[in-house]
Parts: sequence; structure tokens; C-alpha cells
Amino acid sequence: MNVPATAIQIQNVTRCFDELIAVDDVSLQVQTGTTLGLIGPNGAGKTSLLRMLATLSIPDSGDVLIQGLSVIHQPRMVRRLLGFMPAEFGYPRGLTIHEYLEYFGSLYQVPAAELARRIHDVKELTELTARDNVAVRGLSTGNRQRLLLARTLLHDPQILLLDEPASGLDPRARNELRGIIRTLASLGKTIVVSSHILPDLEEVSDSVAIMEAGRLVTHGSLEQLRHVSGETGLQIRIRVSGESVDGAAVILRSHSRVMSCEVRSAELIVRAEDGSGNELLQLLIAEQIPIIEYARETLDLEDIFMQSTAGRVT
Amino acid sequence: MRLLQNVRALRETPGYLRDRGFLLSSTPIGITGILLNAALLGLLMALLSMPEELEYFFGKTKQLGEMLGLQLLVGVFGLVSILTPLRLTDVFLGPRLAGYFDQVVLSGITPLRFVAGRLLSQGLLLSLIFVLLVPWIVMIVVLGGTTWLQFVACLMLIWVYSFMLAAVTLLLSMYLNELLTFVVVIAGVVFMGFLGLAPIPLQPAVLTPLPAVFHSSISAILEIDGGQTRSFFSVWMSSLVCMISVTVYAIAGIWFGPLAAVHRETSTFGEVVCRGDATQKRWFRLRFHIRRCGEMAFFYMNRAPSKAPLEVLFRWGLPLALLLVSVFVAGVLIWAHFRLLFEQLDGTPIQRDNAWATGTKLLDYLIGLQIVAGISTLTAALVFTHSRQTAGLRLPLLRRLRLSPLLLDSLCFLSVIFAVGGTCGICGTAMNDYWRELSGSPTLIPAEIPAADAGSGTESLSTIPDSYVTRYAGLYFDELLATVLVLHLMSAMTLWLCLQLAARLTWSWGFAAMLTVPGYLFIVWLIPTATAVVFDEFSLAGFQQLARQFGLVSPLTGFLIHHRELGGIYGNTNPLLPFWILHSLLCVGSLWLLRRRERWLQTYSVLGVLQAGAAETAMSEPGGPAMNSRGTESVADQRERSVAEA
Repeated sequence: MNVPATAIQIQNVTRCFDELIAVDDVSLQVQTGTTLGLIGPNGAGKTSLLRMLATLSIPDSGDVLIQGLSVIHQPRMVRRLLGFMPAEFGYPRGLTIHEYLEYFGSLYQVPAAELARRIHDVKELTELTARDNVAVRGLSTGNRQRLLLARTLLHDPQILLLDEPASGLDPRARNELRGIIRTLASLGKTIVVSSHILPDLEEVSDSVAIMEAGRLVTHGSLEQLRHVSGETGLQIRIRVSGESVDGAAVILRSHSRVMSCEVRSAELIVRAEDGSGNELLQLLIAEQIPIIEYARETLDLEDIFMQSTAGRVT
Repeated sequence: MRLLQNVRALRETPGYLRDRGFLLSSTPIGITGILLNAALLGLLMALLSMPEELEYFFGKTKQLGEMLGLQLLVGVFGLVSILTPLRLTDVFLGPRLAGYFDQVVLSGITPLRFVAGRLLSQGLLLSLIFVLLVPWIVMIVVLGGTTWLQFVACLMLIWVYSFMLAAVTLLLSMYLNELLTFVVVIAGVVFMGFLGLAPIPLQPAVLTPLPAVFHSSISAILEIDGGQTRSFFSVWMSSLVCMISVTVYAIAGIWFGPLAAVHRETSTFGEVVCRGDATQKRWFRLRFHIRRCGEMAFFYMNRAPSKAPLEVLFRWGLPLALLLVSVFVAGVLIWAHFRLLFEQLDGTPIQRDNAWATGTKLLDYLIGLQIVAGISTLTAALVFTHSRQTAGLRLPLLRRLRLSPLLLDSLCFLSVIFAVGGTCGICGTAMNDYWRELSGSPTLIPAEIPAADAGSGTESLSTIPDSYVTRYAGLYFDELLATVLVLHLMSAMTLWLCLQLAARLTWSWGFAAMLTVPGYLFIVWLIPTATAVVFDEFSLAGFQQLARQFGLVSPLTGFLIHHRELGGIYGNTNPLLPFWILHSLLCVGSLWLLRRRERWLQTYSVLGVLQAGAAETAMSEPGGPAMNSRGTESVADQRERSVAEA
């Protein structure tokens, strides 16, 4: 089967609830086999957008194509390609983990002969094998998220929509979740992850889309976003011995290729022109400044997010 | 073979798997066992403590074994009637409230497959109950006294009844929330149960197994009263046929999906919100039925894509066909039943003497037709009313012919009205002709009633109460039929118009139906009649005349007057002027308001808040606004245009 290069194509999508415009004219593309991180403040419209991708909500205008299929006109076919992991964990009462997976497996009409193998596989992937007969009701948040993910993978979807998968998880569980997402990505799945936890997204995403007040503020790979966010030069963090800080600052500020130099306790944060790093390092050594640490810095996702958004909510 | 494979496939549905896991676990087995044994023991103790009442109620003293068999069947009936709605009312709303309905929708499972498993697991519940009853059955065998064939037949009937109850509960749970579904189902079971126990030859309550279970007792009472009895097989078979028919109807209803909405290919599922709705909703937070787009989508998109172009046919055509066939079949069945009844009297020596009694049976026949007319027109009013989401839609009926849902509703409802009028008219006329031939008189009471032979032991003129002769003398059946039918149809038309209006004024079809139907029945039907009767009974001077006039607004009063039941208050004839004035005003007023509201909804929708169907209307107009891929105008365009227009 030929898989299109573009897995998800969002075309001028708008969604309103009464007077509220939850998603406002958003256009976006996600390439097959890549992971898109969808970030934005609360009320930015991330969940509304994901629900439209999942065919659970219909755009008021515009359309979304999943592997070339419209969520409006061919929702049934689109659903076969999708695995949607919602932010809320809903479950039928009184089931164990195995029964839960069996229930959803039969819901997705996975053939009975294959269901046992699939359940085994997803439990192994999400490390739930040892908890087969544990009641779903008593699961910790981390294990619930694992179970949700396991259920999402049961019918082997090609595209995964994960809504706040790391919400409420401790650092260890988050780390494990990142590992699972990376594994899924290596299996060729196209993944859209919405999250508030930006370092996690930074690690697993090939590209990032930032939303605010229903609008798509910016979209692209991290490198592209850094470029868009104004990181045109070089940022260096230099740690020197305490008494040399002021002297080093004077030397650097006087250099023609340095744009700014900020002193933070024993550290200097220097912004300079591209390609000037070695030159500045040599200058400091020549001036016999005792350098303890020298590091090139880049803008992280949080910086980009803070620069891109103004804290507006719909 | 294929059917067997399909049934096997149903055993892999999530509902069946889950129910199997639950029902075959120790807790439900233990609880059901305790409940069942407690119910049976309680019933046995209560029966044994009052042997005289037993003898009175059942006509003759029963043997202990027979009594036990009877109470076992009643116990199972009761348990099934309670457990079935308890376990099935949450089939649609349960997943929504538990937060996994989205996953059900996304799985692509068809609505019928989703509920079929739960319907199938009803068999597991019954099996569980029957297994738990084995000790009791052994006891009945040891004690003796039971007709085994009838006992097994009744158990079979309970089995079918449980499936019917399950299908009806599942259908209702699509429209109502859990509590309302439970209340409606239990109320229906209690009502039908009581009717089933009533010692009347034609039990309208064959929707329960009780007429078959209590067949011998009911027959005994009817024999004492000299009434017409039916064989066990006849009762059992009619119960079976009725229950299977209702089950099939209920399953078809589930497959249809909620009738209040229209398929998204011809509409959008967008929940239509108008200004002021939020305030209204705050006052009435009850959620009567599934309304969210995703939930609605489950019933349409997950059904089968090939059915989408035929949506108009499904949504209007099939219910109309079912209703028309039901009306016709019910009319013919009633006619056939009474014809058989009269034919049994025909040719006997008591024919002429019993003519008065046969004449009053014509009134029973008329009541049967009235029940058919009432139920079918009420059902048609509910089925052929759609929510205001459909305002402004034009649905493709033929290649170029597009009709609005309101017009389709009107055509279908009027068809039902004509069908009811026609069927009742034809059945009534046929029976009237037969009655003339039988009695030689066009009236219910023949002018001259010959006396019976002294030794025949049958009723003669002297034994007929004078009041009957006085009451029904000069009553022409054909006139009575025509008058009563006209009253019925006028009342149905008024109710339907009010329902249409309410569905467009409120945000919810369910809310409109629950507001209008009980409101109309209580305010227009029951209260005026009750007021007139009560005021007359207590002879409250000054208000009596006013209450009588008030009573005349009710169609019920009209029926009772024409049936000569309120002769003391109104005499035997009355033009029912207040009824006609009120109903004409209601009809004209509703029509006028409906037209205004429909136009307002259409205009409002084009201005941007209703983004749904009105766009199609606009699209068909030359120079209409630009549409997106769904054929609806984009929000930005709508806003821009509404600002420009403002």
C-alpha cells in the first residue's frame, strides 16, 4: 500500500462553540513517520484541534485530510487509521487490565485469534505485563496512562493522536513514556502529541506547532523555530573565576563581534555574531582570564514558547 | 449456516464479553440466587398464609405443586422485569458518563453490533436464573399438579419476553437518560402486567407472559362471568407473535438511530445554539437523550456508509411504511376478532335475545379502533417531528426534488391521519353492515327485542337492565364512529402542531416531546373532564355550569358523551363547541407561530450562529455566499457578511 508523504493535512480549519472560536483558521501539515509536538497554553484549542483530527468533532469550515482522506466526508475510513489517546481516562466499571484490553480489542473488532497476541504485544511495549489481573479502578496515574496508550495501540493504527499523555506523571514515568513514544516513532508511526511539558516534547518531536487563542502562532522544526524566534547569532555561557568576571566582561563588550554581554554571578551570557566563538575564546585565553566552563547555548522550546505567546486564552 | 456464524460473531462483541465476564462471576450468581430464592419464599409464605383469598381469586383451590409452579413463573417474570432495565439502561449514556464513548465511536463499531452483544447476553441472564431455579423445579415435579407442557411453554414465553424487554430498554435508552428509561420501562411493565391479569377475553396486554401464565385462573373467572374464553394455545401464540413483533420494531429503531436528528450528509450534526439557550439550559439541566455531535455520529456514520444517500427514505419513508402497515394490520386484526366473536353468536337460539349485548360489543369494537387511532397518531406525531437543527434544510428526495423536513413531516403525518381515518372507517363500515345484517337494525339496540324462551336459561328482555336500553337506544354505530374519529384526528393534528412548535422553540426534541405530550394529555384531555365530573358529583352550585363548559374542551369528554357515559351531565348529544373552538385556535395559532419561527431560524442560521443546514438553502440561491467543502459558508465569511448587513 502506498502511504502518502503527508500524513495529516489541516486546511484552514475553524471550529466555534457558540460565540467562542476554539480553533481559528489553522493550517498545518505533518509528514508521515514524523512526530509533531502541539503546544499552547490552556484554552489554546489543542484538544479541539485533536478532536477534529480524530473525527470526533466536525470543523465549521475547512477540512482535515488524513492520508488524503477527509475527516468530514470519509470519517469511517479515517478512523481505521487513527489511534486517539484522550486526556481523560474513561473505562467501563469492574474490569481488570486484561479484560479492559479485551473489551476494547473486541470493540475495534480485532479478530479473536489475533487479539491475544496484540494484547500481549501492547502490554509488553507499555510494561503492563505483570499487572494482568489488577483492577483498572485501582491503577496509579502512570499506569493508567500506560493502559490508555496500550489501548490506543491495540488496533495497530498508523497515526497516533496523544492528548496530554504525560499529564500527572512523575519524572520516571515521563521518561518511560518518552521512551515508548520514541519506540513508536521508530516503528514508522506518525504521532501528534499535545503537552504542556515542553522539555518532553522537545526530546521526542521532529516538529512543533505552537497555538494560542485558537490560532496557530508558529510551526516548524525546532531549528526553524529558533530562527524565527530571532536567534540569528550565537549565545555562549562562560564561567570564569570570581575575581575575573568584571575584567572578562569589559574585554568581551569591547569586541566588535559581540552584541551583548550579561553578567550573572560568576557567569557571562554572551550574544555574538555567528562564527565568532573560537575568536572570543582565544581572546580570553590571550588575556589570561581563568575559564572554568565554556558552552554554546541554544534557545530551548520553553524560550521559544514564551517568546511566541502572549498568554492570551480564548 | 451464515446465521449461525453471525450469532457466533456476536459472541465476540464487547457487550457480550463484558456481560459474560460479569454474569458468570461469583458475586452476581450469589446475589441473583439470594434475590430469587427470597422472592419465591416470600411469595410462597404470603400465598400459604391466605388460602381463602387464594380460592376467591383463582376460582378453585389449587394444589400446592400447581401453585408453586405458578409463583415460580411469576417470580421469574418479576425478576427479569427488574433486572433487565437495571442492567441495560446505561448502554449508551453509561460510556458517555464514564468518559469512553468517544472510543466507542472511534472504533467504528456499528450501533446494532454494539448493543447486540448486550441483547444476546440477556440469554445468559435467563440461563443463570433458570439454573438457580433447578431445586424449585425439582420440588414442583415431586409435588405434582402442574401441566408440564404449559409450564415449559410459559418459560419459553418468559424467555422471549426478556429479549423484548431488553430490546425496548435499549431503544428507550437511546432517547432517555438512565433514570427515565428505568421509570418508563417499569411503569410499562406494571401497566401491562395489570392489564394482563384483567379477566377480559381480549387482553391488550399480551406483551407480557402473564395472560398465558394465569390462563387457567382467568378462564375460570371468565367462565363464572359467562364471558368468552380463549384457549391456552391462542393466548400463548398471540403473546409470542406480539412480543416478537415488538422486539423486531425495537431493534429496527436502534438501527435507525435517534429519529430527532438527520443524517450528517444532509445536515451537520452541529448542535444548534441560539441566543438565550444557555439560560434555558441552566434551568433544565436534565439531559434527556444523546445530543453531542460525536455521539450522534455513532448512530449514522458507524452504521453503514452505503445507507447515507437513502437517509430520507430511512428517516421518513420506513417509519411511515411501518406505521401504515401497523395501522392496517391492527385494524384488520380487531375486525377479524370481533367478527369471529359475532359469528359465534350468530345462528344460536339466543341470537335475537342477546342482540342488545352484541350491540354493546360494537362499542368495545369501537374502543379497539380508537386505541389503534390514538396510539398510531401519537407515534406518528413523535416520529414526524424533528428538532430545530433541521430548520432550513432541503433534503434530496428525488433527483431534483428537495423538500424541507417540515414538509416531509407534514406529508408523512397527514398520510398517517388519512390511513387511520381510512382504516377505521372501512373496518367500522364493514362491521356496521354486518351488524345490520345480524340484528336487522341500524342502531345498537334493536327497536324490538323478542323475548327468549322461558326454558332456555338465557337472558331475555326482562333480564336486561333498563338503563342499557335507555342509554343505547337510537344510537347509530356509523354516526358514532364518524364523530369519534373526527374528534380523534382533530386532537392528533393539534397535538402534532404543538409538538412541532415546541421542537422549534426549545433546544431539545426530547424536552419538547416531554413538555407537549403529557402537557396536552393532562391539560386538554384529563383535567377538563375530571373537573366537570367532580363538580357535578359534588353539586357545587355556581361553578357547575362553568365546569361543564370547561369539560367540553376535552376530546375525552366528547368520547364519553358519544359513548353515552356522561348522559347525566351532558345528555346524549352535544355539539362540543368549546372543543372545536379551542382546538381550532390551537391549530391556527401553532401554524402561525411555526411559520414565523421557521423563518426566524432560517434567517438566524444564515447570519452565522446556525452554521448548519441553512447554508444549503443559501447555496441554492443565485449569488449566495461562498461555501467551504461541506457546502457551508465559512465562519469568517458569515461574520463579515453579517457585519455588512448590520
